[in-house]
Amino acid sequence: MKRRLITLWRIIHTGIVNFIRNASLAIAAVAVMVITLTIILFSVITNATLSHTIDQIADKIDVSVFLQDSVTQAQGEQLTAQIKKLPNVKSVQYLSKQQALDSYIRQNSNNDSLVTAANQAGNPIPATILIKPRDLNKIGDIKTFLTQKNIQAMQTTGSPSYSGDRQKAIDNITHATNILRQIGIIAVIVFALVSALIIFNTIQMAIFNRRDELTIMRLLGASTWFIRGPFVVESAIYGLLAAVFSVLIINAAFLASSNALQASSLGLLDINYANQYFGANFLWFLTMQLAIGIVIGALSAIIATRRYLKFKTK
Amino acid sequence: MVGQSGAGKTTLLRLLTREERPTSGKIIIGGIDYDKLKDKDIPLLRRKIGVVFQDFKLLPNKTVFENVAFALEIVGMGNKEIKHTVPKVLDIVNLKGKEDSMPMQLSGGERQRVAIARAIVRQPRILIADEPTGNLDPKHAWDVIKVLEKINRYGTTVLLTTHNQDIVNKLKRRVVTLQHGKVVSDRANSGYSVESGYKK
Repeated sequence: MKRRLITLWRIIHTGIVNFIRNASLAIAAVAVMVITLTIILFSVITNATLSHTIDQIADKIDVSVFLQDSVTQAQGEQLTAQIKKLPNVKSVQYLSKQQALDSYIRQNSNNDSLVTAANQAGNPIPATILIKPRDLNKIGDIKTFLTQKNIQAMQTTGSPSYSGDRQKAIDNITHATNILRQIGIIAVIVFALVSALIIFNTIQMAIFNRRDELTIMRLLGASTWFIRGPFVVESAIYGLLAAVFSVLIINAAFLASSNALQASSLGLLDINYANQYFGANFLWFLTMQLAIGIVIGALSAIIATRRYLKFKTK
Repeated sequence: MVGQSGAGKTTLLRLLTREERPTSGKIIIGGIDYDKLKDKDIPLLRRKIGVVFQDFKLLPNKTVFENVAFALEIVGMGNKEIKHTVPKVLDIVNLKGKEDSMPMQLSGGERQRVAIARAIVRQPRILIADEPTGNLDPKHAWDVIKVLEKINRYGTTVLLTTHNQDIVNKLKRRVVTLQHGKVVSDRANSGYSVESGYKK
């Protein structure tokens, strides 16, 4: 037992000493790992931010039900309550004729002629029910409900308004968001795989450089783990350092960018959200990076040392 | 053990350290039957045999002390004991004071003596030395041979391969001659000449 402890301590100690003595190689290996781990982290955050932007766009999509002027407020509110019970409905809002007009004026406040026209016509805006669907892909359920004969009768012509051009737009956005999400996930997976390969290759090269040491240790009667252990420890240290650096780099990048582009956003990439998301999940990201770095580092060392530790069988 | 290049000296030694496996025949050393050796037993076998190589095979990133200590770390010896044992062995091979040097800073003869220290520090019953003087000039070669003689006097069997007839003739020990992979002579207190293979 005591012997085992001594040996375990020696393996860790030798790994640390080797790490320090092979500083130049260590710097190269850590640098490569920092870059790849940073790419992984960056793509995860980008993906989440993109996803958030898509959600926001999707959130703006609603189904409007325009009610006939003959429908009383009580009837309108009753219908609203019914719609609320549908499984795919996220939220419903009932706007009376006056509220709908106010909202219309607000939305078009920069277009005076439209506002004047609406006022002069004696409120042409119908009372409206705004429905936000939970899942854009299943909007058909809501449609089926709204087009039932008795409910359709309460609505003006052209209601509900997802039909026609707008239905097409909704379909397009739904389609696009699905594809964008899939691309995002695939990109993260591809980056992670490529990074793993690059890290593996770097460590394999580092061990290839020292293959003579491995064979010498073998000839002196060292057991497999006594030889391999220090390399595993050394590579795990690479992973650990690289993980910390990658998180720091992303953190620094956010600090720099939030100073430079106060509250701005680059098209689909909302930097403020990305920054918040990163801040909120900081510990989780650090753990993820540490896990990826250490596991890939250690695994690479185990695989890379295998060929030099084999005994001649024939 | 003598013989021309290609006679099979190194192959025979590699068979003893189980770097090679025989195509036929049996190897038994100290009661260990090599046929019954499993992969996981090979390190244990090698810990019982000291080996010195022509190209020294020192660990380049370790100091002299660490190179010798490594042989003891492998078997799980405690630090205190290692600190006690290594200087003694370095003394035997006349390398006192070189503990903290790196192999790169040593001459060939010194490096070979570090390798010998490493080979004997576990007190093996057998020391195998494959052309240990092959890369050394005559003066340093004799330093190494003298150390090997000393170790032999302490009771360790030394199996030395060489094609330096000077060394063989001065040592006057048992000489086994190999030719084309076969033993062609085996004589006690013998000499050797490159031309005739062996001489009385």
